[in-house]
Amino acid sequence: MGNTTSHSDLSVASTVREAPANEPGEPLSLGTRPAPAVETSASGLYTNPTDGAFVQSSSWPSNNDSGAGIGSSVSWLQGGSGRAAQPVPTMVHAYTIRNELNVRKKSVRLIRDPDNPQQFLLEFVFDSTCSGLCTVYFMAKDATSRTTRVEQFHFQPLDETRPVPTPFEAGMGQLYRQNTHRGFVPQKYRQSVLFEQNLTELSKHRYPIVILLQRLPNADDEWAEQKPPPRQTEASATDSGRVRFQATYVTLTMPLKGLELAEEIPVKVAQQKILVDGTIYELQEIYGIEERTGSPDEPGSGPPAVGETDELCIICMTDPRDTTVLPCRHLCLCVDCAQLLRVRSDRCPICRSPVDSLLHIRNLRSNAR
Amino acid sequence: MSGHLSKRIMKETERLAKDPVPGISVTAHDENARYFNVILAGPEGSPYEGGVFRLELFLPADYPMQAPRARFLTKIYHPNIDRLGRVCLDILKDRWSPALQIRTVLLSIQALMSEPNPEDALNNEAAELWKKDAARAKEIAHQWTLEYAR
Ligand SMILES: [Zn+2]
Ligand SMILES: [Zn+2]
Repeated sequence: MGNTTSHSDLSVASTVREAPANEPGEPLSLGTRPAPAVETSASGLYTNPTDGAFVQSSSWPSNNDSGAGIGSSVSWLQGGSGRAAQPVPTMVHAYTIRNELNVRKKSVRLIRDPDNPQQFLLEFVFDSTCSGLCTVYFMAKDATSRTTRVEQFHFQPLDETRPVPTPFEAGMGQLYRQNTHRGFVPQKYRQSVLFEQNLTELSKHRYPIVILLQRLPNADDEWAEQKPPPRQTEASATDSGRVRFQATYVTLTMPLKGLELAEEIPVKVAQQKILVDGTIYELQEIYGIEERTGSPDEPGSGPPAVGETDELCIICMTDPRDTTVLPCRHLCLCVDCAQLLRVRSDRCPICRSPVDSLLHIRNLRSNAR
Repeated sequence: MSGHLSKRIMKETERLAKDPVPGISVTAHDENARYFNVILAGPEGSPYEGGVFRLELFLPADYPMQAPRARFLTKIYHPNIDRLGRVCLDILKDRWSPALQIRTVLLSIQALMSEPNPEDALNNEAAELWKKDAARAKEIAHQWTLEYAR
């Protein structure tokens, strides 16, 4: 389990190494006013190095339904700028922030309630550096405001019963297990709705499950107290630049045995979003971050040359990797070589897919030392 | 040219010296760090087994944005290598990626020696024979190995 000290450090690389794989409480990258080309939308992007994830989103995905899904990375890049039509990929800059709230994607399960077998109970593991509230919505419509700045997420569950927020304290690896009074009864819903996987469809209608973590305003959290440097004190003085909400969108798959017999309904985290400073960002995978950090869960299983080859830019083999190729999301370049790649090649060095743009994650580099 | 990229060449050269690939020897030219003398051992189980093949390898100014150039100096009978020793290999052309290295290029050439691809020929005569009568073609390749690749 990640110890708290690791979380009091804003550095991405060092923190990541000590923390459990895929786990949060970790710094993220928050993209800022990317290139002028995309400034039209209050867009940003945001990465979660621990998760090997990167997030990006325009403001709340306007009304074009593109906010959902992997394809949005493209639509965002093309957002209103017409830039994508040009041959030279855009260079986009991001900076890192910490992710203070996170549901561990792989931990989410929907298990049959032994005491009340017609219903299923949700469980998952999450991390938080602060106290807050956790709310689980079933068959919920995303009614979050579509204006540029939003104060919070809004979900409207189909059920008459309103979900009750559960308070939690700061801590890593906390297990949430749903109260048996609030189980999920899949038979109540049409299967076409229940097992929809397409995010665009889901965003128009209902998400089977949404988990919302909310940091309580001005929550005193451990790391703010522990961390003396001015940078942190500054941040803790206001809510500025901090993750206030994380929404995890879960989809369901029909169990092989059928709904009547299965002990568990297979679930998948289809999407995660966070809300920082009134803007919603979407989390997506970045490939290559796991490599450079190795897997803390299985010591020695990482690549042999950790700290040497795999952290270094694939082109110059000299500087740390801090730039990700989009849309394939291979983290393999340093920012200087990315500049070179922009003009000299239109393909990702790793997978050879066409390059739309390059995402430079600022703090990855300085902290990798 | 960025100093960045020349650092890469130094790193690759250092690593090749420190951690050599079995059957492959690479030596940078004294006066030109972009020019390498290469010695490849003919792969086991191929008609080139037992042979020692000399190649030259050159890194263009914008390497690794562009592929290295490699050429056999030793005469070799192979469908994908022409009389001038030029090699027909996708990663040296349109399949090049800066993620590849001198090491990977040479390993690929070695693999090509083990598995010729007569469909993508550079030496048409050898390719034709390879398709029609592989045993005979391999025999010639072996004879050439005995004769030239010492
Ligand atoms: Zn580089
Ligand atoms: Zn790629």
